[in-house]
This record gives sequence, structure tokens and C-alpha cells, in this order.
Amino acid sequence: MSQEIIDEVIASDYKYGWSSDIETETIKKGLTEDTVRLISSKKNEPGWMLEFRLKAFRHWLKMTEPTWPNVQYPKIDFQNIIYYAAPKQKIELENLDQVDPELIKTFEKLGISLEEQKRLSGVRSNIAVDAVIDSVSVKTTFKETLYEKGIIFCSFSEAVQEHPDLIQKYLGTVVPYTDNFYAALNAAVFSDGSFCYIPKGVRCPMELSTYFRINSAGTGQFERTLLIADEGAYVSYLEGCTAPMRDENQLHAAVVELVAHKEGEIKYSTVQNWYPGDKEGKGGIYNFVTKRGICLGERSKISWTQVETGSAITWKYPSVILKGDYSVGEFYSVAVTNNYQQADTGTKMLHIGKNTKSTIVSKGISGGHSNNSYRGLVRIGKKAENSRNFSQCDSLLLGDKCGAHTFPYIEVNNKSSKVEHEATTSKIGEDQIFYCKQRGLDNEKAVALIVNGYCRDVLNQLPMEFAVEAQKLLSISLEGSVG
Amino acid sequence: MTTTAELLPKTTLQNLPEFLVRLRETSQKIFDSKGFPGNKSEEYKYLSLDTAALRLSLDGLPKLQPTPKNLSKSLISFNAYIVVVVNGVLDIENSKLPISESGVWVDSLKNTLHTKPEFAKEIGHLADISDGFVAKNTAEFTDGWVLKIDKNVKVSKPIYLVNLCTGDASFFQNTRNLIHVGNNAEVDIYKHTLSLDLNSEIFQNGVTEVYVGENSTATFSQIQEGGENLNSVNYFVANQAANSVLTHNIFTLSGKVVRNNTQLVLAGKGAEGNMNGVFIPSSGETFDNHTLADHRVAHCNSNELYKGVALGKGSGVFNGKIFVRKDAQKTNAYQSNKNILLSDDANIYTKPQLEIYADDVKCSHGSTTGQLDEKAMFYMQARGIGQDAARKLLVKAFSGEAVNMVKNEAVREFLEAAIDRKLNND
Amino acid sequence: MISIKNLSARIESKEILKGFSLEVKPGEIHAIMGPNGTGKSTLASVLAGREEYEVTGGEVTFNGKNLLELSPEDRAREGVFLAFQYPIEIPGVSNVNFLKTAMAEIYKYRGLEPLSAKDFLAYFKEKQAIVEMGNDLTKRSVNEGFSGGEKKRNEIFQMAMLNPKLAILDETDSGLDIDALRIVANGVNKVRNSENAFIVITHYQRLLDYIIPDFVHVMYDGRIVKSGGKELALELEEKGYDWIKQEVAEEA
Repeated sequence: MSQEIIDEVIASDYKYGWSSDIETETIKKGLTEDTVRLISSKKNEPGWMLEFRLKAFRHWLKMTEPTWPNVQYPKIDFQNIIYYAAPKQKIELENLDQVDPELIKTFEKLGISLEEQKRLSGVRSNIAVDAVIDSVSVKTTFKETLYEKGIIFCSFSEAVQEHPDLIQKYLGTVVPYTDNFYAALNAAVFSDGSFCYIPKGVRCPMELSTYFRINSAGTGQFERTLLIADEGAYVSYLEGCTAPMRDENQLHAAVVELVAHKEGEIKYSTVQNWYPGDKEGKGGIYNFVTKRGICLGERSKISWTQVETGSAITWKYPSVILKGDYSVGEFYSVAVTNNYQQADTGTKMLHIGKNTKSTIVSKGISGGHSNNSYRGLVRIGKKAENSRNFSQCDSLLLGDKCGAHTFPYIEVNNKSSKVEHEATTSKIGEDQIFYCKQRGLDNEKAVALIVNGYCRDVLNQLPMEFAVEAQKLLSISLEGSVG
Repeated sequence: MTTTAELLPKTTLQNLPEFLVRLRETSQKIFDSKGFPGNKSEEYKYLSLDTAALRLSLDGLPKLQPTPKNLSKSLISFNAYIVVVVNGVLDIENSKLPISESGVWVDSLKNTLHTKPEFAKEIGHLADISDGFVAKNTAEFTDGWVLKIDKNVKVSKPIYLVNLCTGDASFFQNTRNLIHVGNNAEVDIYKHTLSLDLNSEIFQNGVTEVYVGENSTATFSQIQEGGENLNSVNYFVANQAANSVLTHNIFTLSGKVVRNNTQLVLAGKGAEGNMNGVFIPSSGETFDNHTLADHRVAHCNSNELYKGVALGKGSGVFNGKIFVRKDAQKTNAYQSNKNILLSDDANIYTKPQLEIYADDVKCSHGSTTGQLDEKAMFYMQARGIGQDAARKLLVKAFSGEAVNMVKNEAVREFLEAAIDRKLNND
Repeated sequence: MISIKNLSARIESKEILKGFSLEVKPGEIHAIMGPNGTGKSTLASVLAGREEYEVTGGEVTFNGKNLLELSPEDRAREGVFLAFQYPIEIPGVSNVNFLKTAMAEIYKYRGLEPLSAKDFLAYFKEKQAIVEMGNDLTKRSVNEGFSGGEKKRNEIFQMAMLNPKLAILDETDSGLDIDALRIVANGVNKVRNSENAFIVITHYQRLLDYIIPDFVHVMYDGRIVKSGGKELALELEEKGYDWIKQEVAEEA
């Protein structure tokens, strides 16, 4: 790519970088056992929940931060973070009129309607939304409609109060608090998140989604999501995230647990657009997330799709434990890094049951001075007879100052299984760009078009409403990337 | 069985260049603080180095062993210069050294330090002492061999290095080898590791540093048949100057724990590096291959083809990295790793990696692990070929792709027969 | 429409165009013929704005504008269309999406409202018929997995869609069988009118049986050495290029 093109293409700004003036209640910075107790008491939690938190906290104290990811950042001062921030006003479900108009505006600006009847931009029609600001869930739409079908979709805090049996049964079963440093931290201080249970044989009639927004300065966001598809149930779940532009780095350490029972299916899609930091690499979110699902019953299926364009640093590996025979795990990912962003992301497919099948498609695109790594593990256990995995990991480089890396681990412990892995790294084709230009497209349009084509296998996996947004997001993230 | 009493005290090497003396001190410090890498370390993750093997007496070397009389039966018979090394010591009597060929030098490291000290100056500049085994070797190597090909010399015959392990003593040995191929030179080298009457477990920790000059062509093929008592970490690093072509082939057929570290440094424009391998671990064997194609400058090519066949309770590892540094534009790098498991108790671990910092490159890797093609098996059976024979045919075809990279026909035939034997014994 | 005066250009250090001149007026079809390696495709690339070529002299005016100062996309937006000799494949980008984006960009440049989705589709269907392109081809990714003939037809289809003022066909006939050649030529004839012009670069005369040129130019060693009417093409077909080379050599 010639220097002129680098210079010609100008960078654009992060669209969601504003912050809202919402009255917020925060607690003191710092983390001690008292902080954990304070969060628990603010949420009026039962004793078993506090116990879980404290165990996690005590375990966390003994752990050290992982250093194996291919990312660099200054040491995080865990005492310099606010672990709880909540909009002061509690929203009454029945009456949106009483809600702080700032809050409603915030979500409308993000393209999310908190009013069930209202259709914003015509695309987000049939989606139930759980809106999370900073540490707490502020509103869940379509709750009643779903409840009629026996579907529980509510904030995590509410689930702790209303459905303690389910939470106690599943919490920490897929991602135990001992799993890793950030999972332990999350288990100790998580403030809210979404909970969803689809009962036996029910196909969830609409897309469920959670919209995460970090608003307050100095806070960390630690949400926890738990989704259960009971036997033969189906749900498609979407997750979106944004944050204001700030010079500081903010920590987001979430945990997501998925459980699919016999013939249950969960489709989990993420469009992650946390603030990536400015062009010099200042500020941005540290996105250290543990996401894991278990295909517990036979013929169950878990599918992760992610479009990762935001965050200064991304560290996440949405994984599937394929325990049930004939269960299926999928991972489709597009990770775009630009400027000084760093991403170390991928998946783990752990084949335990017989005839299990997994597919991995990962597309990494790096521009600017960024570094983009795919890291993945495919493990075929000794008893996972006739299991299959296919992985395709491609990297596209948009400049000569960025890096693209692939670190796949493949472990095969029985002979009847088959694992195939392919990876390529190349730069964006100058011939393709010229061809597009000859048809009247400028550089940015040409790059966006080619990259969208490059990512199509993944974008096709997204629900319609998200696919359009993801495509736009890709174009925006890539602006100024061609070097 | 064996005690340290049977070992000779270690001698200190004389005439080491000043640089090397200091490097040995630094390496000793590194080793003292880090020790051997265990399976907690990312690079040695899948290698369960039996600690007993590592605890083997570090204080001495075995007494000189006579070269077994039946050696020639185990060797590949072809027209070549032969360099026989017994337990790390050059056996001139049984060797056929290229004395009459001008511009070719082979001798033990010990002798070279005395007779041609200037040759030894290149030792220590390529191997990475942050690796515990390399640090250990650098600090403590006692001998090894030096092979030097002058510029413009095309060596008339292959050079066949026989690395023989024998005797009753348990020991841990650090050998250090150096190959220098001058500009516009050509050489075809084979290294055959084997054991005869080796009655105790030993550990060989070898480091070979190679310089390949401009416009020269070199091949280095290793056949590893160390047997059940040999543990080895075999580190090979080559620095390739402009327009040089180096092909490294490695066939690991027997050994207890064998770790092969192969690193090609493409340091001059237009260099081409090739790495091929076959590894066939069976019960009680772990064969672990780590490769690195380090593209330091622009316009270089690297190709890699590794085939693994895991039998019985064997474990095979392939970990290959294509590393393209910032300014190495116009790099073409390909890596292919294919594995088959022929038993339910066998394991294969692979990690094909790409680490890329330049944009105008074409890099790819592919890795598959599975079983023999069922359709092909069936087709052969339908034509009357028994399952066992069909399996052998398919494995031969499978490994043949890499075996065919070997230049010398006699060596290829030897390898085919050796692979066949290995499958028969399974 | 386009006036090329004394154009010289090189790639790396090799001079390829050496004082090429040509005037094309609306409604005209100019054929440029010549032996291999005389710079025909270089001319097409230079006019379209390929960066590898360095213009070392001369000027090109396109409808009053200095073409050489424009970026490749602006040249396209001004109405210069190049049918590539080797059309590139763009995996994952459908033909429909590609053309929709291109048209929107060109319309924007010209200050026009983009076509509505409905109008676009109608227009798309209409042009599709011109080159007898099936739906399966248009739905697929740009040129991906297309045969040589299909790629060339796709180029003409794109030309019909973008409706350029000047179309440069760079060896569009190469690798085509007689049916594909007829379809391609037919497409060109349907698109041609009194407002637009064509530069048809070809090696063989046979394309000119279908696309009747107003002028035939022989290019040799980077410039035009002989011009005439369509009968010149026939003469070349009969006698080959050697006599032209001889003529040039005698002049020198």
C-alpha cells in the first residue's frame, strides 16, 4: 500500500464516545472484603450469594494476573477502581414517564428503545432488551410477553431474588470462580447482568439482547450473564456494548455462562464496541472476559458469533464444552484492531462426548499499529470418538506497522476423530482496491467493501438486525486503518 | 546399574575464544537460575521429560567405548564420507574422512580448537541461551564436531555423520557442533543417530550451529533411531545468507523422548529455507518437533512439511512457527502439518503458529489430524489387499511426501524400509 | 471527448509509451491494434490511473479536464470505464452489492440522488439482459469462480450499468469463444450511442467484425504508427504486422 493512500485515508471518531449526565450513585474506590459485602448488601442479596462472593474474593487474593496473552499494558491497580456505580433512579417497569429522561435519551442515542412499542430506525423490531448501565440493569423490555411462554428474562439481581433455585443450581457450574484471575474477580464483585431461562421445548419467539453501557468514569464493569436452554429449547441472544471516550483505561471483566440441555440450542452473538482509545492509544476499555458454554445433553448446540471492533485490549475466548454426544459447538469471529488496539481472542472447543462436532471461523483484521492474535484450543478427548473439528483462521493486514498472529493448539487423543486447521495471512489486495476504484469507489469504500466480503462467512451468522449494524461498524472501525 | 565411578572426570576445554569463555559463564548463570524447562513452560508443554533422565550424572563422561564390530550392518550403505562419533567422541579409525578433498574440513571440536582455532570463533552466536537446554549445553559442552566447507567448493560426495550411542553407563552429554558452508558452496549432509548395545538410559543434549553462505546450497538430513534408552534434545539453528538454499529433513523413528528444535534464520535477501519431517512415535515414545522459520529480511521463502504417524501409546508433537519480522516484506511462507493416529491410545498435539509483523506477505499453514482415508482403505481392500498391507501402503504414501525430499536415493530407500519395520513392530 | 497528446509513460525504468497521441470524439469507436508488447495494455492502465506506471510526458484531456491529475476513482466517476484484460476476483462481495456501491458513489460525485432500491433492481435486470447474464452469475461474488468468458461478460455488464462516456476495452475478446464474443460485441453495440465513445484494444481483427470501428490505429513501440479506416484491420489480418515494422524501420 502506497504512502499516499495511508495519508489520504483519514481517521474518524468513535461514534459512541459521549457520556450522559445521569445521576449516579457510586461507592468508594478500592477492593476489600468490605467492598464485596457492601455490593452484596446494596443488592439485598441472600446469604448464599454473599458466601459465593466471599469465597471467590478470598480465592482471588491468592491468584496472579495472567501474563500469557500476547498483549501489553501497564499493571492494573485494582484498588483504584470503583466497583459499583448505579443510576440513582430505579425504573418502574410500568411507567416510563417517570424515568430520568437522560436515561431514555442515552439508550435512544445508542439506538435502543426502552419502550416496547417504539420502533427505532425500524430494524430493532422484535427484540427484548435488558439495558445495563455501569453496574446495574435499568430496564428489561418484553418481560411479560416472554413470561407467558415460561421464559424468564430479567436482570441477574432480580433472578437472585426471584429464581434463587435456578441461580444456585447453575451459577459457577460452567465458569467456576477458580477458573482464572478475572473470573474470580468477577465472581466477587459482579454487580448485575442478564439471566435467561428457556423451559423445555420452548423456542424463544424473539431475539433477546443485553445492551451494556459504561457511563461513569473510574468504574469497572463486572457483569455476569447466565443463559439456560432446557431440553429442546432454543434462544438467540445478542449482546452489544459501548462506552464513553475517556483518557483513562477502564476495566470490563465479565463472565458469561451458557448451559444447553439435551437438544437445546443457544446462539449467542456479540457486537463489542467498547471505546478503543484514541489514535495515540490513550484510554479505552480493557475487555477481559470469560465466556463459556456447556453442551450438557446430547444433540445440544452452542454457537458463538462475535464482532469485536472496540476495546483497547481484548482478551476473550468464548468456549464450548461438548459433553453431550452429538453436540455441536461453533465459533464465528471477526476481530478488527486499529491504531494501538490489541486483541488476543479465539476459542476453546473441548470435545468430550462421542460424535461431537465443532467449527471455528476466525477473521482477524489489523490496521494502524495494532496487534491481533487468534488463540485457540481444540481438544479431542479419548472418549470423544468420531468427533470432528474444522478451523479456518485468516488474518488480513492493512498496513506494515501492525501485526497478525495465530496460535492454535490442537490436541487429539483418539484415532477416529478428525481435526482440520487452516490459516492464512495476507495483505489486502492492491489489485482489488484498484478494481473498485476504477468503478468509482474511493479507498475507504473499497477497503470496507473488500473487508466486508472477507468477513462474510462470519457476518452471515449474525441475526439480520445485528448484521447491518456490524457491517457499518466494520467500516467505521477501519477508517484510517489502511497504511 | 551404573555408578559415577565408571565415568571419567570432565576435562576443561582449552583454547576457547574469549567470547565463548564469557558466554559459557553467562549461560551457566542462566541455567543455574532457571534450570531445565519443565512441562509448565509453554515451549516444553507437551514434553514429559522423565526427570530421572535429567538427573543422570552430570559430573562425568563414559569411558571411551570401542566401536561395536557390527556397526556397519546398521548403517546406510552408500558412497559417502563417513564420520563416526561414538558417545560424542570422534572415532577416526572407523571413519572415512574427506582428507583428500580440498576445501573440506571435519574434525572434533577439541582438535579444531587447537589446530584451527579461528574456525571455532563462530560457535555461540546463533543458539538462543534463554532456552534452558541450550544454556546447559553452552555452559558445559565437552566436545562435538566441526565441519567446514570452503567457498566455491562443491563437495563431491555426501557427508554421513554417524552419531552412535553405546555402552553400559548412564550419562548426560552436551555436544556442540558447528557447520560452516562458504559462499557458492554445495554440500549434502546426513546425520544418523543410532544405538547399539546401549544398556542404560542416556541423555544427549546437542546443539548444532550452522552458517550457510551466499548462493550456497546445503541439505542436512537427520535419521533418528536412538532406541528405547536414548533421550535427546536436538537443537539445530541455521543462519542463511542471501540467495542460499537450506533444506533440513528430520525423520524420528525411535527414541524414548526426542525433542527436535529446528530454527532457520532467513537473514539474507532471497534465501530459501525448507524444513521437512516425519515422526512415528510408538508406545513409550514421545517425539516433539518445534520449528521456527524466522524471516528477518525481505524476499525470502520458507516451506515446511511435517508428517506425524502415532502408533500404540505414542505421543507426537508438532509446533511450528512462521515468524515474519517487521521489514520482511514479500515473504512467502508455507507450512503444512498432517498427522494420523493409528491407535486409540496414541496422541497428537499440534500448534502451528503465525506471528506476522509485515503486511506484504503470503503466509499460510494447514494442519490436519485424523485417520487413514477410509475410502482408500476400502478401495484397496476391494481389490484384494489385506487391511494390514493397505494400511502400510497408505502410511508409506503418507510419509513418502516428506521422505521424497531427501536427495540421496539410498537414504530414501533406507528410510522407507525403516518406516516399514517400525510399522511391522507395532 | 478525449485528447491524448504525446503521452509517455514507463514502469520501473522501462519506457513503454513513447509519445502516444489520439483524439476521440463522441460517437466514435477507435480500434487500437498491434503486435504483443507494443504498449496497448499500458495505455489502458495509464488512462485508468494505475499507480505502477509513471507518466513521463504528454497530456490527456478528458472533456476539458486534465485526466492525469485525477485519482482512479474520480476518472471512473467522470465517465472513464476500463474493461480489464484480467478482471480481479473479490471474494465475498456480491456483484449486486458491488455495483450498487459503485453507482451510489458515482451518482454522489455527480450530485445526483442515488437510485431507489426498486429502481436499481429494475435497471439491473434491464442491463443483465444485454449481456445474457443469468441470475446465478450476478448473485455470486465479483468474478469469483467465473470462467474467462463469464468474467469478460461481467465487465461488459458493469459497463452497461455504469454507462460511461468513454469505455476502454482491453483485449476483451481474448479467450472468448465465438458465442461469447458475439454476446460481448452485442453488449457494446447496445450501449454505444452518439454521446459515448469506445477505445477497443485488440490483437485480432475478428472482434471488429462485430464492433465496427470508425478508425483503426496500429500501435508499435509505444505510439501510433499508422491510422486508417476499418479496412486497415482487414489488411493487417491478411498481411500481419511485419510490413508495418518494416515501414517504421525504414522511416527511422
